[in-house]
Amino acid sequence: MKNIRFDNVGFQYSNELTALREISLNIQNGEVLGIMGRNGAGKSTLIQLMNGLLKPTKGNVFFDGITTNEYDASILVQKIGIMFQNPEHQLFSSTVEEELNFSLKNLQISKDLKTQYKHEIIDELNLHSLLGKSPWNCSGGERKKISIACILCRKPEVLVFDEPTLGQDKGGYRILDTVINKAKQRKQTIIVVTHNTEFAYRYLDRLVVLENGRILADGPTGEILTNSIILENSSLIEPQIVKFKRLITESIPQQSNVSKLIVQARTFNEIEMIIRKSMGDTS
Amino acid sequence: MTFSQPNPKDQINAKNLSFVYESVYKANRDEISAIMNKEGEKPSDSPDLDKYKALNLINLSICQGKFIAMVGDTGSGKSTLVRTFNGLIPSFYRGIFFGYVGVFGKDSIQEKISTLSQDVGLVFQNPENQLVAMTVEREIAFGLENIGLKRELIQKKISQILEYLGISHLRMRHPYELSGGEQQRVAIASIMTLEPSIIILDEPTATLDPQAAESVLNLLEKLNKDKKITIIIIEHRLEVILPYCTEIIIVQNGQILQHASTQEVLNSDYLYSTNVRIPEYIILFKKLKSNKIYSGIIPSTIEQAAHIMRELIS
Repeated sequence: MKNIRFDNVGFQYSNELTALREISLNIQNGEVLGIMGRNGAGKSTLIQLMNGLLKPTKGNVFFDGITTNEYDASILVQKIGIMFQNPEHQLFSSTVEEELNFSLKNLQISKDLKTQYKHEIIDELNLHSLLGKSPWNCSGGERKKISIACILCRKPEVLVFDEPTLGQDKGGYRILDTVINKAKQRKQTIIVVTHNTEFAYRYLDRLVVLENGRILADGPTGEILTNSIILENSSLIEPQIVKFKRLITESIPQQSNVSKLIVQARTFNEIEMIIRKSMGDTS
Repeated sequence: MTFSQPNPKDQINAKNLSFVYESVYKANRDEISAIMNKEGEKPSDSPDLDKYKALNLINLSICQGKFIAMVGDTGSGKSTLVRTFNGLIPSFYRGIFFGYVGVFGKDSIQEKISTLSQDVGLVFQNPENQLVAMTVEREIAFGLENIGLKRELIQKKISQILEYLGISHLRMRHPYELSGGEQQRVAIASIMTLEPSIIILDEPTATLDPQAAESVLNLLEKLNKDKKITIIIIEHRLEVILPYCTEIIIVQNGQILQHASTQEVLNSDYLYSTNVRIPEYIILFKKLKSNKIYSGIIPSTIEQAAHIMRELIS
């Protein structure tokens, strides 16, 4: 089982700032997990410990049963692909195709297989029209797509996204939606660092909430994001659907059948259907 | 397209504003030169030039004391547009500039950036890019020294602004030791101390956690209400900004698609035709309205939405 395990991990930066303390965490193969918490809680440090960019100063991080200290850094970076916040930091080639070639360059596979991997990702993310373009002449959304492609083309076993929704319009969201749903179908492990509770509520199954370098909460997304004490202590806000249902029900002592149905709804689309039905709209 | 009418209280006034970045010009020099040299046609109006323009024939008036959200798809021209308001375009970001931008009646091309910066303060998404000094005090002093104030007056102004923003305790701290929210407050303080009439913020809360983001927005609301400072915020997350803004400007393909009150924007169709992510409670009411199940206004906040929904189902 290719899981990631943190065994009583601590991490201290060279300036003596302790970023993480006593982290014990088990992430199973195929999990869709979110890491949340306020600015400076230790989220980015945690993901950099996963692929060996940082080494723990206390305890051990295991990938597939082997500590990250024992892995060759280039192998681990290939197995755990991290997409950082600013795609610009990852792109430097003169064309999009060269960028993909560079991503595949250090993979220990045949030339033919590299070409196959490249064409698979071009088709999957529909990159054909961008191949000859400079990444710098692409829009923000396109650059996001290219940086995702550069990670995905190496077929990592674990996909890590650092604040993927930042600065994204609907177009950027659609790309993310496609990538995450396809990774879910492949039963790939997905780890997302985010402040965005809307995104977490929609896509992530389990949340780990960090506060001041420690794990404050770890559990199913639906439980974490409806717990006002956890939200208050980690600088998070309720997802819109949770807040909307709470506001509707808290001031209606006698609940009607419709309001009871609304409380059970998971999405605004479901609420729309309930209202339309209750108003006799069957279209 | 809809435009607001010019008003004597206008602080910023753009007329037929178009802009082509120098990098785009260099990459397409022959084609652009041929269009510019065409006889009998004003080059800025030529539709052949549209695909090269980051801004395309913008007409816009911004009045005093508004709290404005500027929204639009990524790459639509929002950041480019606000950089013309304090002269960064075309003085720093160079290119071909057509039309006119007036800031308090002063031509942005003719005025020095240092003069315009005292009217229009710009805060970027990542405060780290804006903070250069070794302490918060030195950071705030930097702008004041550049306009030639005396040391005693500088110290007094620093104390006043730190106290007003509730960050006096950070005075001797290194800006890089601060949290993202604290850094953003320091960046706002260093702009505020120059007493601009307009503060423009390019996604100021994008990297902040939700509660830190709310505290920065509350601070901007206070500046807007107490000191009548005009606030213009570029923001992708409508749900974050809707409780605060009184007007919305939608930028699309380098043009102004709509500039109107928040209520008017939510209740017309332009916003819904863009790639801007719209809060789901707004989409819910928009759909109910389209299906003639609901006929009132589209609510701007989730509290309003829940209130209307309670009435609808009771």
